[in-house]
Amino acid sequence: MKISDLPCVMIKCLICTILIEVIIAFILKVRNKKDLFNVILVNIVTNPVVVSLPFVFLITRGLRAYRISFIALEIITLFVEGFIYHKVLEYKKINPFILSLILNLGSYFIGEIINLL
Amino acid sequence: MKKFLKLLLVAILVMPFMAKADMGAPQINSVEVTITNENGIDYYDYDGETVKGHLNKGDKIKVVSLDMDEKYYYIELANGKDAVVKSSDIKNDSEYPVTSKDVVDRGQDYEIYVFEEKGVDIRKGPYEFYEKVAHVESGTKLKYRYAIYDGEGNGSEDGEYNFGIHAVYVEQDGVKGWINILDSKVLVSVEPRYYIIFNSIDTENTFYSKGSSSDFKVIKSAGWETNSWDREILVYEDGKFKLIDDYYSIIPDKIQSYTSKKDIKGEQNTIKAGTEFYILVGDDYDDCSFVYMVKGSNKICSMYSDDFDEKLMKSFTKVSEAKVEDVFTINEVVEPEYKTTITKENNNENNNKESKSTNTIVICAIVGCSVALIAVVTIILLNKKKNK
Repeated sequence: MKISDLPCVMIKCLICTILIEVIIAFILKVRNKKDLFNVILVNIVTNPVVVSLPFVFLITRGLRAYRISFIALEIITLFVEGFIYHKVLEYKKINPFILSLILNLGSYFIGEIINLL
Repeated sequence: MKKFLKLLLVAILVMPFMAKADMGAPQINSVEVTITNENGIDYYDYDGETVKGHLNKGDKIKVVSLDMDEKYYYIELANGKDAVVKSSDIKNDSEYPVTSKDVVDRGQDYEIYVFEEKGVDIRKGPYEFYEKVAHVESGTKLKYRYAIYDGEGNGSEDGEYNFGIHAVYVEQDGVKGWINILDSKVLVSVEPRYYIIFNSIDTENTFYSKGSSSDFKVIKSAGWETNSWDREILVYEDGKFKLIDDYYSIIPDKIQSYTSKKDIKGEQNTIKAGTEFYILVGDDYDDCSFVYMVKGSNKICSMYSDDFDEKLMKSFTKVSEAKVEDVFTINEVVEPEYKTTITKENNNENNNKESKSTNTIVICAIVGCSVALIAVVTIILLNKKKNK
């Protein structure tokens, strides 16, 4: 990947993640339009930061910092999203943190499958 | 609280795997590099200061790199472990001297021809991590005397062979440096040679199965070939220069004709006693088979037999030697138009490129955080109305 591709990669990541997570949420019976919109907004909160911030660590602190920051941000994302879901979602069938976990796992694995294809 | 702790545990266990690739997240590719510093180099821990070990000349490492300059290169050692090396240790500002042990003095000047459409770079050393000093456009002809062979037994220590060369050292117009020629972008000069080419692949198969063919042509090359085992030759065809590798064989400039007192019976062909024939390929007696053409026939044939022996071939009577162009119709050789200029590298451009890369990352991060902030505000406002 070239650095000059980073903006396009960020947009691509965001769109794909939103699509997949909304579909999974819908499958999990999140049907309220406002809830689905909140799912979209939550991904807009976390995804661009998770994709772009590690590169800042890479150029300032090195490869190890890049890898650590990536992992840390993913963990933080899980809790941030869970917290936001807890506060705003009307959907109560699944614990919001578990919901966050399911959605993130889903977007990861489906993303891997798509990458393989 | 217990649920929260369970979730935290799951996250800590699962997330490292998820962090590998978050839906199309960028991957970093690695490049294999051989250490060329005479005394080797040290490698460090991630802090870039604690020496972890030493790499010797000839050690191979994988360098993980981005398209931007860094203080350190992140490498993967042969044992799979990560480390860092100083970029100055690998991406050298110093010149790779022609007195280095792996450099061969070929004793005289040879020529190279840049065939690659985009041209090639001249660097201070024979590897891409050496600083670029100039760019050479496609169509440029240069001279060299010093070469590094590819280290896999292709070539010779005394520079006898013209192939298997990894890089050559050029010096022209005040520019000196190395050009990597191993990947067929740069051609090496050879004496113009004659090649038998079958006019179609089927003809080649027919030749192998029937042992003869009239559907061939003999061409003379312009004297440029790729520097690899499957020597592609530069030819002018259909109005342009191109590389071809589907030739059957090389034949010498002068071909010898023979007769035999006895019939020569092979697996597929027979040469009657007293018939004059040219041996085109394989007249060295070591390999008791050859490719020939009966004088005046314009049909090349193969001759091999389990009954052949060296004694039989030595019994052939030499008749005459003829030039290839007197025996075959050869098209006029077309040579490319050569350029001789080199474009010196503007190192300020490189520095600007590196700044641009850093700026891109910073801007993307700022935009990402800004978008996140806006989204947070939107979530608050959207749900504040509900609460009201």
